[in-house]
Amino acid sequence: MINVLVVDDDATLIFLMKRLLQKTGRVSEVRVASDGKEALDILFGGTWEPDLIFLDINMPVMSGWDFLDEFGRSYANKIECEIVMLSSSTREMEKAQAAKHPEVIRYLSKPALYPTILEVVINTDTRKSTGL
Amino acid sequence: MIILAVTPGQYLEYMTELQKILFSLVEKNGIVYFLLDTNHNIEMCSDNMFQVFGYDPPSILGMKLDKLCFGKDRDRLSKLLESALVSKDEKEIEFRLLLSDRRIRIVSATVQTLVTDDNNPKIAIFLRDITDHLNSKLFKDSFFNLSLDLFAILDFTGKVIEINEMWNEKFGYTKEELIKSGIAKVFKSDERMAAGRMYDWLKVSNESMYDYEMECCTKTGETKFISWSARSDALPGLVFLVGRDFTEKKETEQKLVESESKLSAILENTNDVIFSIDINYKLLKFNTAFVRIIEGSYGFKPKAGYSVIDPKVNTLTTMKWKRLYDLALSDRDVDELIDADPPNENLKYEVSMSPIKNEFKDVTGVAVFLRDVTERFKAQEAQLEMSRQLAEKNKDLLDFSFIITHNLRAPTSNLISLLSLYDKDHPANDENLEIMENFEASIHQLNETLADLTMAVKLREEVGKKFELLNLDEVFNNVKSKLPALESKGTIVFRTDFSTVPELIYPKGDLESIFYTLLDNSIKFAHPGRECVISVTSFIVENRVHLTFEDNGMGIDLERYGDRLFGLYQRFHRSDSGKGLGLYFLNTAIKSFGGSISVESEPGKGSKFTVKLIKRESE
Repeated sequence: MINVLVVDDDATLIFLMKRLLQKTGRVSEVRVASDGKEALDILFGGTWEPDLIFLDINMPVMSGWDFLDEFGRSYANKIECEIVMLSSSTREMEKAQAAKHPEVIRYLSKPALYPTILEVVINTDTRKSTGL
Repeated sequence: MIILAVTPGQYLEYMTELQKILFSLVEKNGIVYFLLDTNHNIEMCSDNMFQVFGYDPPSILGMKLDKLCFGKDRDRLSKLLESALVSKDEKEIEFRLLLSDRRIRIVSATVQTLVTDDNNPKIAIFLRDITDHLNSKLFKDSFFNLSLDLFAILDFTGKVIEINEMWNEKFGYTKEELIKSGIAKVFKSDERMAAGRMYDWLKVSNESMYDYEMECCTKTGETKFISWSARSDALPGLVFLVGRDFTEKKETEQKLVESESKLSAILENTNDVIFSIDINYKLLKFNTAFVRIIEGSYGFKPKAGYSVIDPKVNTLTTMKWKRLYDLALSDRDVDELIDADPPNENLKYEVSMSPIKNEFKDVTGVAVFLRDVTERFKAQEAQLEMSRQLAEKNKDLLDFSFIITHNLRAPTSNLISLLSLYDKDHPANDENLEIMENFEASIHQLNETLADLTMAVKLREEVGKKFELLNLDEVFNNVKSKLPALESKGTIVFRTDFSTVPELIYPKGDLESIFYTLLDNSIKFAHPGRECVISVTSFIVENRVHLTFEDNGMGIDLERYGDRLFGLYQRFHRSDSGKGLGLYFLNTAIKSFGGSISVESEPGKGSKFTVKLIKRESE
């Protein structure tokens, strides 16, 4: 079972992700943040650690890019966590930029559909339980 | 037969005296005489042999005369002497005589055999040196026919005595024709009178004339220019005439004059400025366009020798020209685009300079060519501006298409996901209800995005790029009435000052969009804890119209967002009304007209946007 953090400013997407993640049966808790700043606040609290983060790029206050920079600086060595980009952008330029961050394991374009979400969750859960 | 009136004794005495006188006369006239025996040995020789031919008479006595001959003339003389002995007639022969110093003279000999009673004949020979006479004849003939000039010797009546071959070659008349009918026919008919007068003058004046140029005419009617020289004082009764053909030179000269006048016509009539200077910047030559430009800029007429650079003056204009002249003087070609001198600095000139060199390849000056390319430059600038605008537009469109895909993609992909979660078999189930609520929200979001994009497209359409004179107060009031957020934010204080620049030439839609976006922004991000105050002013800095929009709102953390503020799809506040498009569109529109937008802000205190627009003159 894994903890998942969904970072997106779109309320409908948050609703969807919660549903899809619960449906997998492998997620113990889903927390949400509406921008990068809120996500950092959750990590900064230190009381709860996600195993997997779904991260949007275009958000007000703090974008996905800024979050990645800050995460790499402050949390990459402390938290064992995988990040999956989830964006409406299909531009190669952004996929390439995401690939520069070692924590990012996948780049998904919206819409978020169940089979993909399930696959991502199973992979993370398996890695966590086997320690591989 | 001699009739004697004296006694034979007296006669012999007289004869001896007479002989002496005759011989002395002969000697005085340079004639050398010999007496030879039948074997051609010299028995006697006159005393003047030494003066005339250099031989001492005693030294040649007993020598054969033949031996004094040169080459084959020896045999010829020997044979003649033999025949003279036989025939006893007087004979003449010319032969080459070898002198004691080995030089050769040509001599004419008269040979006569003398028969005496004792039947012991002697040969008498009289030698005359004719070398000089022959030489002068040869000399004349050779030069007469070798020369490319026209030679003629005329008598006082104008009749041709002698004429060379060149007359035939130049004029096509045979020697016989000219000898028969005179040389007057080679002069053009209207020159004949003058030629006649000149001839008459020559005859009486005993003077010479040199290089008298006349237009002459060949037998076939072709024109020849001949320069005549003549003298009548050399030999009495004769006129020596020499003519030199300078037709070719004359034609070349005429062509040169023609091409020079054509060239100078081009140089004088062109609008291009052409001049040259020496190494001390002193003016050498210039055309009328140069005079015009100097009079226009400096108010005086230039003259050769004037300095084009005043070494005491260090103005930008002087330095500009000196740099170019110095480049060319250091043997380099110059091609540059420059501004014209004040007060015409708005004109553009293309300047080309080439070093002028002497035969030793030293640079002795500079040739300068100036062309007014203002119109061409303006056209080029306009073209550049247009392609810059096009590139801008292209990028704009690319970004715009990205916005469309991005903003439409978010709600549509949500709809797809929601559909996949919808439980068709149990429509009334609670989860489906929640999904339907989100469905509605997504549809609403989609609709709103479409409305935004429609507005954006419409804005673009209105950028009909028609520039018009706009009153800023009117634009402000018009926009203010359309601001949607006005009611919900309570009291807003607007302060405007358009006194410095009350009017502006700009597309109406674009200017309204600038006002709308920035005012709307200030209202959207007004500080919740205080009355919203927005100030708008206009002024001019460096030929640009500045519009400032200052508020006391929430402000922006520029350190963090500064570089992305005008970027695509950027939002910096957790506000439901911002979609991250307004400033992006504004920046794009302003830049497309060569303007710019900048911001100063401090979080919690407020923001100040400055829009800089190109100042356009009304046409």
